Amino acid sequence: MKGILYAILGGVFLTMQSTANAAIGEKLGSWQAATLTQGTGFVAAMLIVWITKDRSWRKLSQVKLYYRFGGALAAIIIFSNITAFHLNGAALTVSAVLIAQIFATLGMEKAGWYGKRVLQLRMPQWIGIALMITGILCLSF
Amino acid sequence: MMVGVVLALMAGMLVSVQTLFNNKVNTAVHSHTTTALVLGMGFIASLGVGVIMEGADFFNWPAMPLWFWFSGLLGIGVVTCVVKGVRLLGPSTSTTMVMASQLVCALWWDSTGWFGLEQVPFSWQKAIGVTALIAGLLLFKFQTQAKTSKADLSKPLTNSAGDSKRRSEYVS
Repeated sequence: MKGILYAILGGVFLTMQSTANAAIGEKLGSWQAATLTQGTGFVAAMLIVWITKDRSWRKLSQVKLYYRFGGALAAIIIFSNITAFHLNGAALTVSAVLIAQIFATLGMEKAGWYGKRVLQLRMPQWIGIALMITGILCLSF
Repeated sequence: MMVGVVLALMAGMLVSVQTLFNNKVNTAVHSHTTTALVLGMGFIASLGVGVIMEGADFFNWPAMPLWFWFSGLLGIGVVTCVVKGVRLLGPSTSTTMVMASQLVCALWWDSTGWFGLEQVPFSWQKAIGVTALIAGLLLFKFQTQAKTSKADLSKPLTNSAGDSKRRSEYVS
């Protein structure tokens, strides 16, 4: 139940973020906007770490080095997104991003990259995925 | 058109890769630290690319409304919620649920014209889209849940064997 709440809130924040980014993008360049939002987010997140006395960063050395750079992928994601928007517009870009994300996540979970509990995809799951993609296309175009 | 589609597909896949990496970071450290690291890395990378692509222009900042400075707080909400959602629900269920919530919010705010958005009227196509999206999510999720009840519930969803010892102290 808590997980569902986090997932729904995550979606709410994502939509608020893209709305805010669109407004910020009218005044600033794309990279300035990305630097500003992530920079201020970083400062605030560090404050939270400090206030909550979270000392778990000491265990960061246990994490494989390249996992720690995951956040930096944002730059490639933003670049691809901007270029795709420019070339094809919002509808096609948004739906392609979401559909690729669904299949990539399914593939990774199926391959066991998230741990040994492997996802099972049966007929109802495939129908569910097809319905979700239909939904994404209907909402984007 | 193809280039744009390929770039968009790549962006989507990289979002998934990022979610995986963040999840791996979160197996060792608390979600507050995970969020700070992810946003810090994003900040450095965006700053770097911005300077490379725009040169001196990048340092030319116009006057900004005050709220711009608080826009980063939304990023904290995004990263924290997604990391926790993946940990509690598993990646596929969480990702599809975040997506559904995102699309429903966008539709809702577009139809009401909130946040100064240009009002887009609700249409039959959108009604069908929302119905298909939710029905698909339920169908996907319903079966996963039924399966989970038979499987091992005592272990956190997203931990591999090696991680679970380290993680256990942070699972709340």
